[in-house]
Amino acid sequence: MFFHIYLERNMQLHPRHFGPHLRDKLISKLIQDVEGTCSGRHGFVVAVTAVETIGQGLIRDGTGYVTFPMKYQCVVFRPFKGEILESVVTMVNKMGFFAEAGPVQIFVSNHLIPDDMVFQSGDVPSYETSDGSVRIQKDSEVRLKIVGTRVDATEIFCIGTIKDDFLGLIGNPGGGA
Amino acid sequence: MSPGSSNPSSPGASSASDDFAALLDEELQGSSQEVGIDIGDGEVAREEFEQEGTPEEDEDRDEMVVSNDEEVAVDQVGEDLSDEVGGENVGGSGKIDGSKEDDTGMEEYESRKRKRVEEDDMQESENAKGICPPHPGFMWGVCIRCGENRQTSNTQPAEVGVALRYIHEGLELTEREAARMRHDELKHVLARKKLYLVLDLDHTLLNSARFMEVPPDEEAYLVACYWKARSSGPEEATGYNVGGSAGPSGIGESEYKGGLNRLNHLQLWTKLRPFAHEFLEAASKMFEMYVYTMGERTYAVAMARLLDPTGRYFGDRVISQGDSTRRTTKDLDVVLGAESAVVILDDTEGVWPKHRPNLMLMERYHFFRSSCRQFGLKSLSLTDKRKDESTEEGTLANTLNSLRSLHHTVFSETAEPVGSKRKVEDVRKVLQTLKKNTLKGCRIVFSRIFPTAMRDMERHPFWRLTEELGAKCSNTLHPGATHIVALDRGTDKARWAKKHGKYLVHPTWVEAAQYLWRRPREEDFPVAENNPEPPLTTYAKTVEVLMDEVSRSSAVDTEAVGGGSSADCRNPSEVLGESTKSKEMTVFDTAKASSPIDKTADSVA
Repeated sequence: MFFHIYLERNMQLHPRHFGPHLRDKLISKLIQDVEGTCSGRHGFVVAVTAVETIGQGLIRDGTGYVTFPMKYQCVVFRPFKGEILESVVTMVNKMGFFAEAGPVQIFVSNHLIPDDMVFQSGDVPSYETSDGSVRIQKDSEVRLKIVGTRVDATEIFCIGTIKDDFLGLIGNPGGGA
Repeated sequence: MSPGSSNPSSPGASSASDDFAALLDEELQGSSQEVGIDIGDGEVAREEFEQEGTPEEDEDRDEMVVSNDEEVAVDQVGEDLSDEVGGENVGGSGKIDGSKEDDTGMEEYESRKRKRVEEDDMQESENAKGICPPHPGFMWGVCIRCGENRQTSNTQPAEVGVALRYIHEGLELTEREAARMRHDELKHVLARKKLYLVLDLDHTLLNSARFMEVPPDEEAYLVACYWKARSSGPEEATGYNVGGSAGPSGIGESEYKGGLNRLNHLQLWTKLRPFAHEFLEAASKMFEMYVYTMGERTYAVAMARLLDPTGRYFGDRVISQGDSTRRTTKDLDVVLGAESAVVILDDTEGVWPKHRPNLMLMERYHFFRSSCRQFGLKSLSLTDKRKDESTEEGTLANTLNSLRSLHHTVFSETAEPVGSKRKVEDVRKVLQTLKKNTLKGCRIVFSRIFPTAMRDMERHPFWRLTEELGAKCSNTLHPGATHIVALDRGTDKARWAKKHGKYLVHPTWVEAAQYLWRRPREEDFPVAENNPEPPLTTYAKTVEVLMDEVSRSSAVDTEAVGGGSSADCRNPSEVLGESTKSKEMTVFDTAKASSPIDKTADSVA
């Protein structure tokens, strides 16, 4: 799920950036630092949308670096148990398949794949129904539901299922479902 | 659940993110509870539905019978084996002791199997419902079925699982789940008329040497070969020789191009065994293949890429040392294949203590000098001899033929009428039968192979090996004997053999039979006068690989099974060196058989 939230961060800036573009420099450094990172608490920071306030800088003794407390608005993405996600399959093996929804890795084990879908090894490993009408392989798009997450300080992993109504294949690499 | 609503009017509030976090936690709690119930209901409902019989369940039911039978078949084979052993016990009085070890091994295996089946039965009811716990396995520490975190799953102590890191980092399965996977896999694999093949890398499919282990003169030769190969075509530059392109007109030359690789990032020279690509191509049609090596992960992956650049043979089924459950031995527990359908190709018997019946022993491939040294062989390496194994008749080609006949035997049973209950033969049984055919009809009399003082020579590994190969063994002379195995021409039995026109062969003949899977030519294994040295250093056929442009036309000039080995050593002192040390080679090559032979040579004289 996406959230638009306020976050705070203390930014350290090298003295060489002090000048007319200090604010711009701070903001670009902030964006560089936080976008794409993950915290267990908030999830993945997708984008910084606005900088609310930049506090008073504090010069560090000895180094000359200046610390600015910054408040900014950003979009974060955090998967939840029970959430429905659309994802792209990255790897298929006999244990199940791995998919990615943006930065989140999701594993769907063969327990949570409908029983009529069977693993087919071969050049392109896949899960297929017996009539071949549904085929999940690498790069397929799949709608899944998250049944469990593991949230670390820096990583989020999910276990998903496609064994439910309206879940499963929504698009194949070649186009079409 | 919109975080924006939690603090709409106070964008500058310092506690904004904390509020949000609190809200998240709250929401998380709520949603997880909800979901938990949801899932539970869903599972139960689905289960009820399944019990009524979904259509595909019905379809599968037939196949399920097959796989159930498979279990039965495994058990039966076990019984058959012990029956057979028992039968032999009646025949040969001394056999009892000899087979005792086997029996206990088998019993242990049986009991393990039975225990597992019982456990399965016990757990089946719960397990089939698809309700955790017990959790079938974990990915990243999260149950792969219910999504519960391992730490929070209270109740029972977490079951020790088999880590399957080679499939994906962080994946772990319980023993039971792995068994279930094997069980399910088996019917799919058998339906495609395939079996499993577990391949070793070093000395089986290839031979590697570190740059630092290669002395300058050998390196010069390798570099010359390497650049010659590279300059002759871009295709070979990648080290991949398209299977089958090696025509009979240029075996030595074209094979060489594909075989030798220089891996700068690993600081390695790697020589693929001739025929490796063709072997994999052919075997991939009959087997689902695994690589299982004691090497490190990076090495294993690099080698797998050499053998299989596109990943179509092995996929992610590359098991390296770190993935193994034990450090010093290999075990099929990390292989998701039913034991009754696995064939193992390896050059070392000792690393497969639990799965000897599945093993097809391979003759070691020593291409580099350092490899010979590693195994204590003082004979010349293939680089020194400027030779290589023959493509068409080398070890891999022989093995492929054996695998073909194995595959044929296993599945010809399947082709029989549907009425028969047991549909697929156990690979282990078929292997045993094939092995028994190797020296079938040979009646072998040993002459001074075992010390006279030795009481139960039937227990001796060499004796057992010979019997496993299907020959009838004896230590006393009888008129029905066809072969006399001796180290010396001077014994009574040897002289008797000469007089009556029987074959007089060196013990390595039996070892060769083990590797070749057919009766070796007796002429290649003569017993020399007062010279208890094995006449051969390699059992597989070798061919000359010449660098010289002029002599390339004669490169195809193949030799009889290793026959001309001494002719290649131009230096007579080398010949001497080779022959004096070659006994040591035997020790390492067939460690089980040779040490007492050495003893014999000393004590009998």
